[in-house]
Amino acid sequence: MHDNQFRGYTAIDFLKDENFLRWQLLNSEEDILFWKDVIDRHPDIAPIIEEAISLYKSSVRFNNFNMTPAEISESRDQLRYIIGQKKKKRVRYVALRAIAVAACILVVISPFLWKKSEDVQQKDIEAYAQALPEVDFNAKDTRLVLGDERIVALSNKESSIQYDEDSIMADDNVIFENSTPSYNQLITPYGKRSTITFSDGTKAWVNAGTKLIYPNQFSKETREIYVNGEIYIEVSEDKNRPFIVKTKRMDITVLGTKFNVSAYEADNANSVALLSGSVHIAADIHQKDVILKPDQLYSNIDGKPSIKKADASMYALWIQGLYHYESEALGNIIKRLERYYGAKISCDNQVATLICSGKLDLKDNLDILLTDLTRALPINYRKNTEDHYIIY
Amino acid sequence: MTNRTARVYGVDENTMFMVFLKGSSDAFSYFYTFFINDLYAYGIGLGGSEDIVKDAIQDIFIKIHSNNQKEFSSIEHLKFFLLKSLKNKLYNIYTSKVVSMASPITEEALEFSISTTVLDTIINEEDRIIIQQKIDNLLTKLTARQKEAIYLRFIQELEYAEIAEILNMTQHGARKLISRSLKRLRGEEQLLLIYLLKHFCS
Repeated sequence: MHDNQFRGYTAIDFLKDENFLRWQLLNSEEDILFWKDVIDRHPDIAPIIEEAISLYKSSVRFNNFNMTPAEISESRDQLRYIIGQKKKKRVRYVALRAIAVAACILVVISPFLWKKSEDVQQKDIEAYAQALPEVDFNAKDTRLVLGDERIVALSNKESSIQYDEDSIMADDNVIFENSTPSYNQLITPYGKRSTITFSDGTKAWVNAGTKLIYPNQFSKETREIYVNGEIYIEVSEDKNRPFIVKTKRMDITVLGTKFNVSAYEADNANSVALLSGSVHIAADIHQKDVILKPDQLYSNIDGKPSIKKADASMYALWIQGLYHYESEALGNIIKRLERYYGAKISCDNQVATLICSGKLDLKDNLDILLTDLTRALPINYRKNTEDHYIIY
Repeated sequence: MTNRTARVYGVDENTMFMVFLKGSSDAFSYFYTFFINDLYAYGIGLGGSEDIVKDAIQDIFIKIHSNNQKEFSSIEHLKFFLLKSLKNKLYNIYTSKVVSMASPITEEALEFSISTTVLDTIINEEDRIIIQQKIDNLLTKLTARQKEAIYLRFIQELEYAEIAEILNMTQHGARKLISRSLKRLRGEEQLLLIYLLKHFCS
């Protein structure tokens, strides 16, 4: 019947044909069969039909109402603003009710902590770390300093940061990272803790008062991070890419293991406690390098290294909120407590040199904890102000 | 070294959706701009004014952000939810207006219309007008509900179950609505008559 119907049709003619339009509009089974039949019988018009279809697709629009790109970006910014306001309000509300942790994140551009980084990728992480200005560990928030001058402030007591291939999860937020190789910093102030998972799967628990510096992407040859403070780290095994934890006084090279590093630059005593695997420690050039075995404790006090047997897991207990100490000077214990709680604890020299062993539950508040200490030791304490304690 | 920020925004929407589910505000903005014109066109089709539709779209996104950004099973699910929410929102705005003017709520609330545009590409104006008229002739044979069903099915590519939910009817009813509109457009008996006539005359 339709033998003659479409002979000599141009693409435009098809676009004016009701059958064709209905086919394009609704694509019903009957229409599909009808047009298949037409094409089968007249293969010569198939290319013209094809042309008509692509013309239809590129030209015909229904309810073609669009906002202009300018309108869209304006309304998107407006939406972002509204959401930002809501979030702030919510956080204020939470803070007011003193409910545990506010999942608030503030991205602040603050140039003072930022170090120029044009050729950072070539620069040695240690040199980079040394060149950075001192940080204030008394700050309120944990700070994640990104390579593009952004600083992400995390208000949680225990923040968790995870580096994925394209983005960073920081508590409840996703941040897209600029991919230019650069160093990032995680600054965990006194009274806070954080965990960080690198893109290779290595996870580090970061103790209070610690600055961690690391590249936003590890290089193909090595994985290097720099620590001023204390971390417990579980390194993912990668035989071709050693993991190096650099500190001011020692470099610890591993392939895949678990260990605790305490390397506060302000402390004269640094230590490494190995839980499994093996690590290579290079300290001063004048000293022999050391290979540490599981359940060995390496300490470096005033530049003098020593190795002793120890239950290494005790040194990682802080990640569970416990603090184990053995034959430790009270002064050192107090220093840890100051960092952990973000408080100031003063004591005289005589008290500081008391040697003690024991375990403290860091989940308790500081008052309870100090009361416990006064029961076990010949000491007393009083509270001067909210954050200042005196032991005598 | 390529700039990763650019690459991130160049990823396909499926990857973006994964990030969206994590609660990312960047991915949230991405889907806002991704869907805004679909929603805008649907809202205007429902008879909303430009400003009302724009505000309504913002409102539903704000609601998603605070409530259930993480609860969507797929991009299609998100799209369906947005279209449905927009219609509900517009319905609420419309009915509250009608009530405030003390007139009864009518069935015609949010009657859907489809307008055809033939873009100014390589087709000359005369032909464009004819093509548009031909399409409009087809569409005028449909009721507002049929138009809406067809629009949601063939332009927005929703599933029958989703269309049924938006049109507040059973899935079976939605299928029937669309198949009946196919019949209407076809005008089956009429066509047959024309063919027969043609056949005898030639």
